Formats: sequence, structure tokens, C-alpha cells
Amino acid sequence: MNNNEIQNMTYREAIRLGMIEEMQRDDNVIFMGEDIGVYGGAFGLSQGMLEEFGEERILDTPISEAAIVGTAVGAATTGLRPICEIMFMDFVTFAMDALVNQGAKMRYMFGGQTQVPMVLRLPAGSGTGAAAQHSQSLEAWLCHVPGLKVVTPSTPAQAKGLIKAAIRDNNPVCFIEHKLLYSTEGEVPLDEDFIVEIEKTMTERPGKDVTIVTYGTLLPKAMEAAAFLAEEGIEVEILNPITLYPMDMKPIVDSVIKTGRVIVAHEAAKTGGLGGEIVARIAESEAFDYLNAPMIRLAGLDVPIPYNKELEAAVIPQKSDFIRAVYRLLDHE
Amino acid sequence: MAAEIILPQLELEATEEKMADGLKPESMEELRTKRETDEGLEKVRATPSARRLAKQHHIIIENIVGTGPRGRIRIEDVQSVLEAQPITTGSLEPVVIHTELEEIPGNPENYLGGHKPKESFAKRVPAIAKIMSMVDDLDLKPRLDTRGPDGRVVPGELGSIKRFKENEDNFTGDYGEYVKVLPKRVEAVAEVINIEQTSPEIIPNPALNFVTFVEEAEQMVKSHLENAVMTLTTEIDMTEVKDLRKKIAPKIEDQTKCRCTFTDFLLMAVSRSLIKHPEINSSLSNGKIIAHSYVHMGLAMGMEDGLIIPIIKNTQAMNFVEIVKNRAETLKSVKNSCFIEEDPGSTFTVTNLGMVGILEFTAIINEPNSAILSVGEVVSRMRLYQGEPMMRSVMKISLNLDHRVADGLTGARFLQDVKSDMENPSLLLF
Repeated sequence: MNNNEIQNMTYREAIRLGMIEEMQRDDNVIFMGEDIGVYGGAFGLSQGMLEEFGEERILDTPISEAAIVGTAVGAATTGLRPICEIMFMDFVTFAMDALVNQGAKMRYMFGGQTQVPMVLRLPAGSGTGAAAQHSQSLEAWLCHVPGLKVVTPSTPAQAKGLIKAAIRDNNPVCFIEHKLLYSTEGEVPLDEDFIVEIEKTMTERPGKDVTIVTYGTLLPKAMEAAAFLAEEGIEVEILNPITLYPMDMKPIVDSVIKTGRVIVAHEAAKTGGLGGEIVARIAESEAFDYLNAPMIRLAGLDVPIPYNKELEAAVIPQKSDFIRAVYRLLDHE
Repeated sequence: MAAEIILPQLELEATEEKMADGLKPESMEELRTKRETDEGLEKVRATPSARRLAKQHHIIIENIVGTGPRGRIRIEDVQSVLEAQPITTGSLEPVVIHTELEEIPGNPENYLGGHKPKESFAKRVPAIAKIMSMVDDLDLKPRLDTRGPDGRVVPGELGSIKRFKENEDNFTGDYGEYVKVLPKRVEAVAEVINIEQTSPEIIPNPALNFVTFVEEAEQMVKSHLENAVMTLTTEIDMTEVKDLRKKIAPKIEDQTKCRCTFTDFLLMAVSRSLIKHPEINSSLSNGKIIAHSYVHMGLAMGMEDGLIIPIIKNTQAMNFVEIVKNRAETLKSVKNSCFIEEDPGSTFTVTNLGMVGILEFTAIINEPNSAILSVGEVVSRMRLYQGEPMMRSVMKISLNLDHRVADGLTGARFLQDVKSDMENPSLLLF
């Protein structure tokens, strides 16, 4: 059924809509997690879903991430398509064995005889005052495991398109959602066939002077900085790799060739973060010869996320950090 | 035949000079001092893009002053060096550039006297080394390393390497055979000439079944022996061009940042005339005459290490300002490198020895072109002008034409059109 309507909705509603559509489309899709049924989800994301799909498909689980993901991997190999909600991404640590040693490996170890079509929904990021154990961005760990796909939408439309693509994908997909983005609004196509392909990098803003590669919660900050810099005549191009693994590098490389200057930014800690990987890939690419300045990584400081609001903001790159970095690249400092 | 010839010059001494750096001596000194005092700076701090641009233009990056943080060389620094290259730098410029009429040697009004080589910032990378490295790349070295008079590879080899690659399959005989069958070829005059519309239409002529590949050293001899060359000379009254140029030069300079020269007027007139007379603008290749509907203008330039012919593409489609701009930029890029990397194949060549006081001369046709225009000096002479004896600025141009491709009348009409345009130069601006 095609529906050309576009509706304004929040990021949270977009993910929920995407899941509901897929559950209606395919009876094999089940949804499991802590407090997702009766309570409606820790972030209110699955409200009403239990009533619509029943206890057979909306499974309230015990407080054990290992159990959730372990069950999901097993269910996926039998032909179901489970969606798991890990209440906070931080707790994916409990599920790592099932995910890394089982889910990611099965398709390879059994020579393609089995598939693991599952989705892990992982609310990540800081900014809510939830402190060190509930604020982390651990995407780099997941990207390091071959066999897992990692996606992270930044707008409601991307969220709906990507969650649908993730559910339809036959491999384990880690769907990282950002808690601070839940309430952001945007236009979302109501078309049930609207999906956003995995392995795609979006150009969020065209420009010619500096390239900023960023995703998640830093995207809005980068957009604000770009708007500020535009008033000074500096045109910043912003790219959003909504699939972190496998990443679509071509738009990034092309953009760096165009601008010769690049900032890679994320909220996760700098050391071992994905920014290093992106920068390294740029350095390995033909874009190297076009660099007009050293590449800059803007990332979280190498400390646990503090509880205090001021300190929390100090740890994460802000709009002013983007502006300063752009000035630095243009030798304006 | 998309190959361009680089003809060897009489003097084959390889120069020890280095490539362009565009540095003032004092800044160079500063730089050295700075490098010596700053530990670890034996290596140059430069961005990858700056290194790429410098490499592309054969500029030694060590000689550039960096303006970035901690003396880092940025792409802007390389660009400014490129822009700082004065257009007249370095070579014996066969076209009149940056030259007021008064400065042309031999002119009675010349205050400056004879040709003064201008002080140059530009130095050239040893051309031989450059070419040797290219030869290595192409893996053709054994074939070529005996070419120069004392066994060196000469700059002119470059063209033949490219031609060799293109004509490898067609090359059937050696030079000896080639000479033997020559008379037959001279008799064979191409009958039909079509003008290509979208793609070149090739007219096969069985009688002209030869290949144009020759080894470089024989290139000029071959061209000289083989072409049925005839020469046509005419005199052009340059007084109006001179007046017009004075009027428009400041404006054009303002617009393009390039000097407008007599050559630009000539290129404009020649391009227009070539379109009217496509026989002159044709190539003889593998026994086929290809008449071109576009003009890729070759501009012969004498450099210390040989004659090279940079090409300005599609001059027929350009207006005057574009000609000025393209001519200046092409020459500038040639100055900054010792050979042309881009090699689209000229359709006609203009050569000028006016600035070294040559009144008229006839050049050897630059194969695969069918004709070459030799331009002499602009001089003041007493002429009858509208019935009155007057001092006029005049210039002689000679067209060398391959008679197999076009006859004298066609050549004469071509020159007539050039002359008429040059003597009414205002029309060239539209």
C-alpha cells in the first residue's frame, strides 16, 4: 500500500511507527526487552504495542541482557526476526558473548547455512544527567566485530527508514538511537515501503570550505555551528554516516577532495573511537593528496561521563568547539 | 594522431638549472636560517595538497616559504608562487608577450636596444632526468637511449614515445624504406576533403599508405623531405592593431589579469580563417586527410632545452578575452613545467621569431599539421597609405603549406582572410 503522505513526528514516534509497520507486515517479527510491554518502554517507545500485538510477540523479559540477546540469537536462527531493546546501550556489555561470539559469527561459521536476522536497539549518549553508567556511546566496540552491522539515525525520517531496513536485513544489526534526539521532530514519510538503505552516508548540508563528518547527537550541534559560520561566509559541508559499519566512504572522500579540510566528530571518547577509523580511511584514500590542513577529531574526553550538567557538557564537543575547529582549519586563529 | 611533437633544439646541452621556485633571495635566506635553528626541520612542513600541487608543477617544495602555523607550506603558498611566475620568465619567448611595440628589438623607436634576457626566478629541473624517468615508466628505454648526438635521450623523444605507443601496430617499415617510396607519396595528392561534423570523418587514400611514426631525431628531416612544401608570404599593416591594443589592453588586463598581446589578435584572426579554410586546418595521418571543424592551436615556444609546442584548445569557439586568458595561462603553465603532460594534438601551429629580430622566415611543418604560420617582427616602414607616404607598423607572415593537402590558391585565400581581419582588428573583438 503506497501512501505519499508526510507527517511531522518525533524521533521516538518514528522508530515506533517503523517497528509497528514491520510487525504488521511480517508475523515473524517479535519484540523483546525489559519493561517494553505493560510499562511501554523505559523511554515510552513501545506504548500500545502490547495491546496491538499481544504477549506472544511483545515479550517483557527478566532483567538480563544476556538472556534477551541469547534468546534473540537463537530465535533468529530458527526463522524469527527478533527486535531487542537494551534499555541503555551501556548494558550491552552483559550481552556481548551472545552477540559477539554467537550472533556475529554464525553465518560465517556455518558456511551461510544459517542467518541471524535480528535487531538490537541501543539507546546511547549523554546529556540527560544519567551519569557514567547510563550515558556511554560504545559504537566503536560493535563496529570492531565483523558480522555486525551498526546504524545510527539522526532524524525521525532516517530513524523510521533505518529501523525498517534493519528489521528486513538478514544479519544482526545494532540500531543505536540517541536519547537526546527522542523528542526532536521532523517530517516522516508514511509510506510503508519507505526504507533508508543500510551503508549510506547522507549529506546533511552542502558546502565547500570544510567537511564535517558527524553522527548522532553531534549532528544538530554541527548544523548550528555551520549556520553560524555561514554568516561569516564560511560554507561547511556536513556528512552523516548513518551506517557506521559498513561505512559508505565515497561521499566523505569526495567531500574532502572538494574542501581539503575535515573534522570528524562524535560523542564517544576519542581514544579508540570511530573518528580514528574515519580519519584513517580518509588518509588512505585519494583524498589525502587534497588535504589542506591536518585532519581534526572532535570527540568526547577520555573520561567517564560526569553527572554534573556543566561537567557533562564540558566532556562532549559543543557548537563552540566546532566553530573553533573550523577556524583552526582555515588558519583564522 | 593525438601526439604532439617536441622538436629537439639546436643546442642540446642539458641545463643544470632547477625548476621554478619563485623565491626572492632574502626570503630564501630567512628560510635557511629558520630551518637551521628549528630542530627537526630538515624536512619540510607542508600539507599534502601543497605537495601535490608543487609536484604537479615541478616546483621544489623546499624552496617555498610557508605561511601556515609553524611555517607550514599551504596550498595557497604554492599557488602564490605559481602566480608570481612572470609570464616572460626564462625562455626565449617566440610570441610577443609583455612587450610594448617600442621594446621590440630592431624597431627604430626602441629605447631599450637589443634583446635583454630578463632576470628569472624560474629554474628548470634537469630536463633529461625528467624524460629519462618517463622513459623508465614507459619501459621503452632500450629503443630510445641512443637518440641524442652523444647517446643521451633528448627532450624531443617525448613526442615519439607517445606516437610510438599509438602507432605501434601500424609501423611497418624502417626509415630506409620510407625514403625509397617517398616520390610516389609526393605525387599522391588527396582528392577529397570533407569537414567532420560531430566526429572526424576520415577519408582513406590508398595511395597515401604510410605511417607517420618516425623516430624523433628524424622527425624534422622527414617532415622537410616528405611534405610537398610551398611558402606564401604576405605583409600585414599592424598600425590599427597597435592602436586598438593600446586602447583595450588596460581593460582586458583588469578583467583577466593577463596582458593582451599582438599574438592574441593573430590567434583570433587565424582561428577564424582556419574555420573558413579547413584544408589548412587538417591533419595527414596514416594516409588519410582529416579536416577538423575545431582549431587546436599549437604555439611554438623556444625553451632552453628545446622547442615545445603547447596547445590552446578550441580557439575557434573563443572570444578575444578568452583567447588572451587561455594563451597567457597556457604559456604560464608551460613555463612552470619543462614538458607538456596534456597532449591533445594540435591542428595548426603558429611560430614567432619577431622578438629576436627576424623579419620573415619559413618554419618546418609540425606534423601531423598540414601548415605552419611563421610570424616575423613588427617594424616601422614607409608605406603608401591612402595615397600618402606614411610610417606604418608592418609585419610579415609566411604560411608553409603541404601541397598534398591544399594548393596555393587556398593558402593565399587563407592568408588574405587573416590579413583582412588583422587590418580591421575591431571586428576581432566581436
